[in-house]
Amino acid sequence: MIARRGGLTGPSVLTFAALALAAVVATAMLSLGLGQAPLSIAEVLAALFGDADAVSSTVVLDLRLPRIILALMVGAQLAVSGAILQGVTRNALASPDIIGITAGAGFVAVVLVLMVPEAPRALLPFAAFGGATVTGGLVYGLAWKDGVSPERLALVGVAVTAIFQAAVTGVVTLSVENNNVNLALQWLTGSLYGREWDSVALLVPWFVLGLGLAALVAHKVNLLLLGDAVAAGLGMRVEVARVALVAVAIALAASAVAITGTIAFIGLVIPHLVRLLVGADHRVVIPLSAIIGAFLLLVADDVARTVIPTLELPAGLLTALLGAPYFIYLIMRSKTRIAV
Amino acid sequence: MTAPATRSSINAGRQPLPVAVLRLGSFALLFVAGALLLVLGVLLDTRIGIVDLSLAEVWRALTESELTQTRAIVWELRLPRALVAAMVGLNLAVAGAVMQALTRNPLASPSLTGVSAGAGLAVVASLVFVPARPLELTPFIAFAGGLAGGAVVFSLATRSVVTPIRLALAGIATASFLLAMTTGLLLLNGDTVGTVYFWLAGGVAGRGWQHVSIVLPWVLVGLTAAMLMTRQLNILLLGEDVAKSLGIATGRTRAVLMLVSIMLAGSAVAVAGPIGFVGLISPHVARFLVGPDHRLLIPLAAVFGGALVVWADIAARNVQRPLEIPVGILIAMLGGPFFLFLARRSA
Repeated sequence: MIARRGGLTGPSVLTFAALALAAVVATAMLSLGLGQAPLSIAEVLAALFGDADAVSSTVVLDLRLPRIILALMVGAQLAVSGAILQGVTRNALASPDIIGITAGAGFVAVVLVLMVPEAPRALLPFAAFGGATVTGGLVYGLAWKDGVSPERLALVGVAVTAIFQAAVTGVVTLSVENNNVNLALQWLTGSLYGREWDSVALLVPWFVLGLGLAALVAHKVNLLLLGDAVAAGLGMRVEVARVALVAVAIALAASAVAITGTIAFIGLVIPHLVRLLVGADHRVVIPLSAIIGAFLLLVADDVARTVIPTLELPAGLLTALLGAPYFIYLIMRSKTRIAV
Repeated sequence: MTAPATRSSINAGRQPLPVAVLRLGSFALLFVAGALLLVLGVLLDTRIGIVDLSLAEVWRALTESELTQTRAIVWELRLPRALVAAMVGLNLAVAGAVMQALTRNPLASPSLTGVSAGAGLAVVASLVFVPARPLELTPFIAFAGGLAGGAVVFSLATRSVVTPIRLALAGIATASFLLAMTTGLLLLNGDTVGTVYFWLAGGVAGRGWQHVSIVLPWVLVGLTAAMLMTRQLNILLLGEDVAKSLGIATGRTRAVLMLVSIMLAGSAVAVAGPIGFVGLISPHVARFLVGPDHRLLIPLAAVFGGALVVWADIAARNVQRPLEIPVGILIAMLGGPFFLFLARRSA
C-alpha cells in the first residue's frame, strides 16, 4: 500500500534485517573484548559460559555485558521513538531530543535524584515519563501558531531544551550533595558509564513493552502519513491514534533518558537512514530502526570508551559530533517534511 | 530579499523636528537610565557578597591605599569582576546588534550563529595544547575560532532562500557540534565533568584585572567601529537591492561588519566563556525602546547588555550563598523564554 521508495523491497528487506541483526550480535561479542583489559573472543566466550578466571568473568559479566545490553536497548528505543515521532508529525526534524522531550525527562530525573535521594530507582523512568510528557505538550503548544511548521517545532524544542539544560546545571550547582554532581551532569551529555545490571533490569520492561507496542501500531503511522482526512476516511480514529503513538514514543525516550541521560541525535538520524534504505512503510521502518539504532549506539559507546586509552568519553559526545552535521545538512537541504 | 520582521521600518526620510527631538530626548533618557543601571549594578556587585560591605567601606577601599581585607575584597576580587561582566555584556550586545542587521535575521546572535561556540573551542584548544601561551593572545585566538564557527551560518545567510528560523537552527546545530568538541577536549585535559560544564556555561568568577586589560581595548575598538558604521547598518536593513542602489559596497561592508561582530563576541568569550542570549536579548529590548536606528540602538543595547550581565552576576553570586551559579546559567534561564517568544514571532 505504501510506496517503498527505498532501494530494498520485499525479501531483500528481510535479508538486510537478518544481516543487521547478525552484525549487532557480532559487534556485541567484539565489544565484550574491548576495553582497558582486552580479551580475545575465546576468552569472552569462556567467560560467558562461566568457564574463565575470576577477573575475566567480572570484566565480561559484571562490567561490560550489562553496559553493552544497555547500549543496544537505549539505541533501539531512541531510534524507534524518533521514527514514530517523525512519522506522526510528518516532520523530518522531529526526534525526542530536538523536540525537547528528553530535556524535560532529564530535568525531572536529575531533580528527583538530587532532591529526593531516598526515592526508589524504579521511580525514575516514571518520573522521566511525566516530565517528558509535560515538556512535549509545552513545546507543541508553544510551537502552535495556525498549525505547527517543522522548523518552528524544532526551534521551540531547542529553546526549551536550552532552558532545561540550564536549569539542570543550576540545580546541580546549588545542590550540596556533591557526590551526585558528576552523575547528574553526565545526564546532560548522555553516557553509559558505570551502568550495571540494575539499570538493565530497570529498563527491560520499558524496552519490551515499548518496542512491542511500537511494532503493533506501526501500520497506524502509515495511515497517518496519508493525511488526516484519508486516515479518518479509512476508519481510523486519528486523534486517539496520534496520542497513543506519541505516548509510546515518549515512553521509549523518557525511560532511556532516565538511565543514560540525553544521548542526542540518534532519534533524528537513524530513522532518516532507514527510510533512505527501505522507504516509508513504518511496519518495516520501526523494527529496522530498532536494530540499526542499537548497532550504532553500541559502536558509538565502544569508540567513546576506547579511542583514548585512559579516558572514557561519554557516548553522547560522539553522537553529537556525528549527528549535528547531519542535522545541518537536513536543514539546509530543506528536507524538513516527510512525504509518502 | 525583504526587510526582516523588525518592529518598525526605518524612517529613512526626514522627520518633523518635534518628533526628532522627542526621539532623541527619549533616547537620552533611556541611555542615562541604562547607564545608571549599569553603574549601580557594578557598585552593588562590589558591595554585596559573602561579605556584605557598606557603601562607605567600598568608598574607603577605593580611595585609600591602605591594605585591608576590605580593600582586597573590593579591589582584587569584586571590582574587576564587575567590570569584566559589564564589558562582556556590552561586547556581546553590540555583536548581536551588528549580526542582526548584517544577516537581517532577528534571531542572529553570537551564540545562535556558532561564533561563541567556535571562539570557545579555539580558546579551550589553546588552553589544552599550548598552555604556555600569553593571556593577551586569547582574544585573537577566540577571534579565529569565532570566524571558523560562524563560517557556516554567515555563508548561508547570504542565500535568499534561507529563512531566519532555518539559520538559527543551523547555528544551533553548529554550536552543539563545536560544544561537543570543546567538552571532549576539556575531558581530555583532565577536567571533571563538573568543571567542563561550569566553563561551558560561561561566567566571570575569579576574573581579575588582567582580564579587564585583555578585553578593554576590544571594547573600545569594537564599539568605535560599530558606531562609525551605523549608517551602513541602517541601510543594510533596507534590503540588499536598496543597499546596492544606495552605493554601499555591500560585500566589503558586510565583511567588515562581520569581522567587527566576531571580534566583539570573541573577546567576550575569551574572558568569560560562551555566554549566550545577551547578544540576542539586548538588541531587541533596545530596538523596542528606541527603534531600529543604529545610532541610537547600539549605545542603548551596549548599556543594557552590560547591565544585564552585571545584575545577573549579582544574582548568581548571592541567590544561595556561599554557592555560586555560573552567570551563563542564570542568563540562559532568562533568555530562553525570550528566545521562545522571538521564535514564535519569527515563524
